[in-house]
Amino acid sequence: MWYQFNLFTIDLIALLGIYIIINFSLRLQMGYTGIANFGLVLAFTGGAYVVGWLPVRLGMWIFHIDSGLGSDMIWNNTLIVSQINSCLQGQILTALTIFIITLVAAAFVGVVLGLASGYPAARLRGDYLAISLLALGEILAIIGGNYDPLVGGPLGVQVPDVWAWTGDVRFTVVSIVNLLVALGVWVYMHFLEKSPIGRTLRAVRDNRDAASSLGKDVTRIRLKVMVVGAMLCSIAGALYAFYTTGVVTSAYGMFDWTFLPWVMVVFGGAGSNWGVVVGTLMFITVRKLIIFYKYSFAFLPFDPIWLQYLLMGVVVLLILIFRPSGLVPERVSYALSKSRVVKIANKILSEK
Amino acid sequence: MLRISNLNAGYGNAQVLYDIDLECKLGEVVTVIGPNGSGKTTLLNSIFGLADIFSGTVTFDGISLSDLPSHKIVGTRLGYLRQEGNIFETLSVEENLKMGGVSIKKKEVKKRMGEVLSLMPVVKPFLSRKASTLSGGERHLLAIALVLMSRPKLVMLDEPTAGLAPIAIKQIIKTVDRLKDEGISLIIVEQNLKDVLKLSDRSYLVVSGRNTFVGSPDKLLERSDLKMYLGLD
Amino acid sequence: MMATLVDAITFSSFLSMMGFGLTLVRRTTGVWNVAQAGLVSIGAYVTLTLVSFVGGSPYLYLPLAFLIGAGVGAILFLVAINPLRKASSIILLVATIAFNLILISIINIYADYLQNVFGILSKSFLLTRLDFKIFGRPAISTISVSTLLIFTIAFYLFLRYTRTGLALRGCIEQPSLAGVVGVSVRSLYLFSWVLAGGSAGLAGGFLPLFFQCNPNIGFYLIALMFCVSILGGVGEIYGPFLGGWLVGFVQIFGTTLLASTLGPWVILYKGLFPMVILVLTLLFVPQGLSGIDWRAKVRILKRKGG
Repeated sequence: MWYQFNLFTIDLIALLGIYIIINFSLRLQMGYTGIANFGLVLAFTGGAYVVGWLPVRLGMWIFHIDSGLGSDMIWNNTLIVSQINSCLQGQILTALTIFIITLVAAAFVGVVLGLASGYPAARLRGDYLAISLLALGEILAIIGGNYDPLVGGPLGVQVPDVWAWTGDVRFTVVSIVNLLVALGVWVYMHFLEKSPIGRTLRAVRDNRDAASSLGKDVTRIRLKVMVVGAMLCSIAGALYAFYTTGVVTSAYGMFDWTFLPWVMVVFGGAGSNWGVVVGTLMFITVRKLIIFYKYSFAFLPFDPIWLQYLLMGVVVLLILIFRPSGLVPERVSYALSKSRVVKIANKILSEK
Repeated sequence: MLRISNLNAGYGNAQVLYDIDLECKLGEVVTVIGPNGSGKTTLLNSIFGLADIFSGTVTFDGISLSDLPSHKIVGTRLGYLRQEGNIFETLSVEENLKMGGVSIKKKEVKKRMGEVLSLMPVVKPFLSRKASTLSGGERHLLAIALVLMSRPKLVMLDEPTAGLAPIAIKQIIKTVDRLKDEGISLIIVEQNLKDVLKLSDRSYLVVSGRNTFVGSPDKLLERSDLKMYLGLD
Repeated sequence: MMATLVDAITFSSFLSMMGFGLTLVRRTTGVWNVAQAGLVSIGAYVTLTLVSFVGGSPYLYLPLAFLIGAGVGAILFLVAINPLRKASSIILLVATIAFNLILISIINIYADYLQNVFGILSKSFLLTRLDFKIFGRPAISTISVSTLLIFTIAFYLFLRYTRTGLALRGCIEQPSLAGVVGVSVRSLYLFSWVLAGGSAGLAGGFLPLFFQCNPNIGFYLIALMFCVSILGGVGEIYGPFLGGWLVGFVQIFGTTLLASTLGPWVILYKGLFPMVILVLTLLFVPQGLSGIDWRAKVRILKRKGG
């Protein structure tokens, strides 16, 4: 019982970390700058593909695994990866190096994908932008799912387990790592809120023309935001791939990694950091609970998984109609804290 | 006939009109004048449900218009000639008139079209042309014809001569005169004051959303302090 | 060659039918309706249900598929779109995505139910065996084209010669003026959503006769229908028909052509065609092909030549 609960919570925390990163990326793009990014899956998948491609080759190079096992990355993938994994046993530094390098590579790929999709798209208005990003995400999925040399096409690839050295507490460690990264992103978002850049972004969202007339290059700003957003998503994708130690295109569908984040952010509130966290937490918990208790619903003549999607659709509609700003609405942000404003006021008054 | 009392109206959160009173009796011609942005169009819009009424009443022939949905108002025999967006550009002239007749019974549309065309024969030669190909003056005439299709007892005209050449203005004024002769009550919002002054029975001056003066045009011209609003030299 | 042509015709007719509803509601209410995909799936399952329980030819049930699609379209408008009429286009888009999610969940639940309780193969079905032949070819091609033709002509006549059609055209151009002359704009909006839902249901009714259907086909169709609508352009009535035929022919002939020259692996990537077309269209011709002022272009060309 305790064991089951443990697994449940650990998996929940791992997913929570990943989704929080994605959702903050969405908050940055949609909540701050008004960019409706329906192609989050693009960068997310990109980051995962890096993990499917790079660590194996790094591992082969570091451990001098030769073509005695067969040099084809894909067909001999399982063999190669298990060899790498046994080499990685106890090699903490090597494992972490591979992890860090891959993560940086994933971030880089995210930037590239962000540029590629953002450059033309940053000029499109709202719903057209959304559709074009959706299409781009689909393009990557079709290529990745069919082009074997990339990530094994429909069968996918395994990923060397860079956390194998942790032994029994592997899942706990990875979950905590995910959470820590998510926390880092949260801290970043927190400081963004008070910063001049944050205000600029919101100005662009609220009134493009006014911001433009004040000298802000709107298109460039939108592009930058999309690049940062994509980078966040690709890091999340990389973390997810490392967590599941496998990359199969079918696990990276637009439903799980674009629509669900939207649902969570709309629900929690795109205008607030706390809203994102609360929304994500609630949704992931409910989702996992439904999956967990799936068998209690066995009396139903259908797979109860679908109930969660039904629930999601209904919840989103209700939120949009009755509480469109989400659970936690956007707060008016002040450039200076109240105490500083009071201090300044006192100073001016005393000078009179 | 049309009575507005204590009207406070605007758009969303922005209030434009403050405590407006206005009346137009049967057969009267009433003018509403005032500088740009004073709320004249908002006044006409609120009568027709195109602006939000915060408080106050608008009644026409005893019917409270604020209770009716926008598309039912024309059925009370009230017509509205808007300043912009008053004809269907993508439809032909004849189709425009048919659209104007949407609120009357189907079998009577043809007959009514004949009546309107006899009132405004200028429009006849254009029947099959697309409305977007008409000149400025022709468009305004079409717009008036459109409004007339619904057999209104009272027509509200929002700056019917705005942006027109003098010849076209003359045509419009002539048409408006004819409407008056037909017994249709009129509320005219204008900036071209001199043209409409001779027509009107009573004038309302609206400045910054408030009713600043009401009385006969002669009385209005006597007030030197209000002259600056009238655009006269 | 002939078979490919026939396939292309069938596919294009289906696409045009599906794109019609999407374009219609976009033109009238300004909303991109993602749930159109779910509505099409509903049509497919209506056909499956009736053919399984009542039997007979799937063609018999097309009118019912239309009606049910129309009904759901009405519900969609009344529940999700009308309450949000003052919201931004993104919020409306998200609302249609949410509604689509609900539709596809219900379809999946229903498909499970059919399978588990009645043993009907509802998770993957193809009803071509129930088709009959016309001129030696599956009837689906002839019937889908004819239905499309009849539908198009009927709709054109409706718009041009009826009072409601005229009101709809006026409404599309200037809803506020239409309201002023006495048109109930909301009723017309409801009408267009009903018609869109109906045409989607109808298109879905055809689907199992030439395409392998599954409960999640609604997700697959989203991208395709956007491609059709946007490529064709929403500014003119013939937009979706133009888009449907272009996308359909490019998809089928393009795949066949490339596969014969480059190899069969091309077939795996056939989903790329509409996606790439979509992105290119959005970047370079967002108003669609029907939105290009061809007359102006001809004039410019003439001037350059002369």
